[in-house]
Amino acid sequence: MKQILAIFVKDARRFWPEILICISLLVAFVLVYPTTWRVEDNPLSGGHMFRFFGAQGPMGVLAYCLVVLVPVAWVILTARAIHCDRLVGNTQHWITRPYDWRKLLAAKFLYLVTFLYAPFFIAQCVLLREAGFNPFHYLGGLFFNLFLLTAACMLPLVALVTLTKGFGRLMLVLLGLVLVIAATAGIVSVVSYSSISLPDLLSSILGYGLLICGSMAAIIVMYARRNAKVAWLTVLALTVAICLMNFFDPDAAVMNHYFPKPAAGTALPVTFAFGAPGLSPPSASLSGDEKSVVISIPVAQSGVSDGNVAVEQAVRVSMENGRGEKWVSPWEGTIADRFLPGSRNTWLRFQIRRKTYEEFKNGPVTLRISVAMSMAHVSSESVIPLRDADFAVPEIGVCKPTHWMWNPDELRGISCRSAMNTPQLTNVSVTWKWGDCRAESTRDQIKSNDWAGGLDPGPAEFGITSVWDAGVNLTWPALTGNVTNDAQWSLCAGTPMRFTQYETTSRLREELSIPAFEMPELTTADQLILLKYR
Amino acid sequence: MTLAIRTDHLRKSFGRTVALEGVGVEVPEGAIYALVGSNGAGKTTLIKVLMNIFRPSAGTATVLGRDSKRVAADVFCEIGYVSENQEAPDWMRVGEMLRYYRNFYPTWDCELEAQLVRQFDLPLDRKLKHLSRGMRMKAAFASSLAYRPRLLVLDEPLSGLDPLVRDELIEGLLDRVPETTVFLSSHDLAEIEGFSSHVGFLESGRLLFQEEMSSLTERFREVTVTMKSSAKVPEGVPQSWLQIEAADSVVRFVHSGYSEAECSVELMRYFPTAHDVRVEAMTLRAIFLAIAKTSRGTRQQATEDRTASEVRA
Repeated sequence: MKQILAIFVKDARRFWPEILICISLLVAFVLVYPTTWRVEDNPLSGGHMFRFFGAQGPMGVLAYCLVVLVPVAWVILTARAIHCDRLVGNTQHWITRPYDWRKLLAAKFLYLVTFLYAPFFIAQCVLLREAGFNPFHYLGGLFFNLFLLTAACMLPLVALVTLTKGFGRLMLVLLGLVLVIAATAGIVSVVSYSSISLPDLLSSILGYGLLICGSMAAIIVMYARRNAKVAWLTVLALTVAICLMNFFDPDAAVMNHYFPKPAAGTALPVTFAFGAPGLSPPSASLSGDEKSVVISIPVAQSGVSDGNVAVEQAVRVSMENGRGEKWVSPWEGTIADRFLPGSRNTWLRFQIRRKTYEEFKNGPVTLRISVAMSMAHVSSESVIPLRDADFAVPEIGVCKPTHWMWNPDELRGISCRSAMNTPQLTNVSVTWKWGDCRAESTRDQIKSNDWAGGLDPGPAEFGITSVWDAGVNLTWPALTGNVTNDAQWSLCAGTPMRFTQYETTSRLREELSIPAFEMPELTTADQLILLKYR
Repeated sequence: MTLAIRTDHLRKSFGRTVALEGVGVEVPEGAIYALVGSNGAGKTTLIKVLMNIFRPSAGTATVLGRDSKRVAADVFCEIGYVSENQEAPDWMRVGEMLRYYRNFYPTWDCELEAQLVRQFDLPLDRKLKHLSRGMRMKAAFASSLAYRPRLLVLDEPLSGLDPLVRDELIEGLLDRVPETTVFLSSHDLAEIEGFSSHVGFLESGRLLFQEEMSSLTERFREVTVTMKSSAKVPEGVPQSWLQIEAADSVVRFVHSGYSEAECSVELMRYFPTAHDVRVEAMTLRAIFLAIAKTSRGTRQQATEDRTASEVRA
């Protein structure tokens, strides 16, 4: 312990300027970041100046600068402390002194805990407190965020620092790493045509597992043996493995297992019917990069029982034409459409390469669409009157009303802050009133709703902040369907808001088979606009 | 005899470059062993193998009874290491550095530390980076002697220092002997001649010889034989006669196994008509030059023989 403390004190004395800068930046972040939550309440930092400083004003810009600067300061703080007893080379003073590598490592760990982790933890607590949450209720999330920080950032960073001789070399290695990541992303975007990733089933566990094991192996090899060759090989293997995960998504391999087909004879929790009367015709449009075609299949969706919601997670398509040619897509992520109780017309969408589209468009094909879905059930429901000030919503956090920018006296929705993560999937519904809030309504009211959060959020979302925003846009039906020149829909303070929260109950895979499907012709951009407003 | 350092058929190569080949060093406890050799001979490599900075490619090395591959924190409590190439915690003040190192050595002697500070006239409040080379070396010595190490390993500790600093360091070193075994490397014979008890000579990665300094200077003599008429090198001279050459009426050679009685007999046998014989003691420098030149000559001959046999084949 004496040695650990001696090394720790030495580092603290030597790097006090770096420590001071790091902590000052964190303090500034804690002071500035909450102002972005209150941007509408403060006209000096908000709306009037948004043209020059972004929607959240100069404090918002400063907050986002600090979001970048704090991690940069952490990198410097970490690198300086480890490089001062560097492991690469054979002329360092300490390698022929009675330094026990475990104690040296422990001293560096103590240094990071004291000057990086502890201030970060305290900053997160203060932010929670500032946002109206009791930090003691979120200790699990707070520690989980520290774990994510360690696994995703600190361990790989420390591994690279141990492998480099100085800060310049470290920067070069980090630059190289950024180039590798950019190149991998570029290649993946060429190879793969789906921009939405699959649901996170295995990849994050595998990714974090690889990062933790690979980085720790490199660190231990360097501290125990100072064998840079073996440590570099470990880091290279780790980089290759993580890059490969982008090409061979491990989630795709376990989709069938995680989203099983319902047993034969059991009632399907959601059904899709193609070709029902009143449905629009299928459409095909080019994706943004014009390399693939997005096919939209209109379906009548029904069967979701009351109190449930089906959330679309991924689709897989197979096509077979009369010549016996078959094409099967990989699993593609979707935009997570939610299917509610009752019957309604909706779309199932998938992407195929343009070349494949051209091959199959001449003549009927047998189309099979597998839809992977999560079934969720209402876990809690609360009705809370909309207030023109911050108000607490159980299970979500603290919400505040949002106003129209051109008429700050009128409400348009809410924005919620939740602790450690976005909230569990929640449907927020509210009734808009026709006319002025103070006057008696002369027409029917109109309901609007929006979704916030997602299914199965973990104990914490990885981030520098412990408070997450979830905007709820309640204006859509009121504006698009009903607004007229001489009329006004109002969202009035005191209006009851219904917060319905859902929890995953099961996962399943449903298949829709469409025989003799004729591929639709490619729709032009003008036609798409017409189709949208039809 | 207990050995503080022992290597056996030690080999160290870096890729195709062989830095050490078949080195067998034996350093008795309490000795001041000087490892001498020209630049690039492999002295630093050998020291780095002993300090477990490099791992041997073959053979073994033992330091204070421990395999060099296992020399770690616990052994470094008993070893002091000073090298001209060693980085120091430059940002620290001298006093800070000494206080810092105190934490690592259970045997750190504060009184001895104070004595060394006085002896070397160290400025405790000056940062190491602001010290002269000599002062830095003295600070390194103080930080490596204050815990009374059993073994002090010094890699070219005196090179480039002015004579005054050199004397101060040597004096500080001699104060610790025989409590501390000293193993030092140098390419300058003059600087180690006065105080070393043992010497080893490393050339091109090979240890040509090692010996107690007293016996070495005892057995080497420069012999000059003057003949009455023109002289020539006799056939079949003993192998211990090195660098034998004849010019006019004089034959000169270095006797590497000199003893008065045997030498007289040998001289009578090979030079029965000698007019005059002079036998002179040699400086360490002259001894090393004789050995190095002979060794190079032998190696060149061996290479030529090998080439010739290959050509013939």
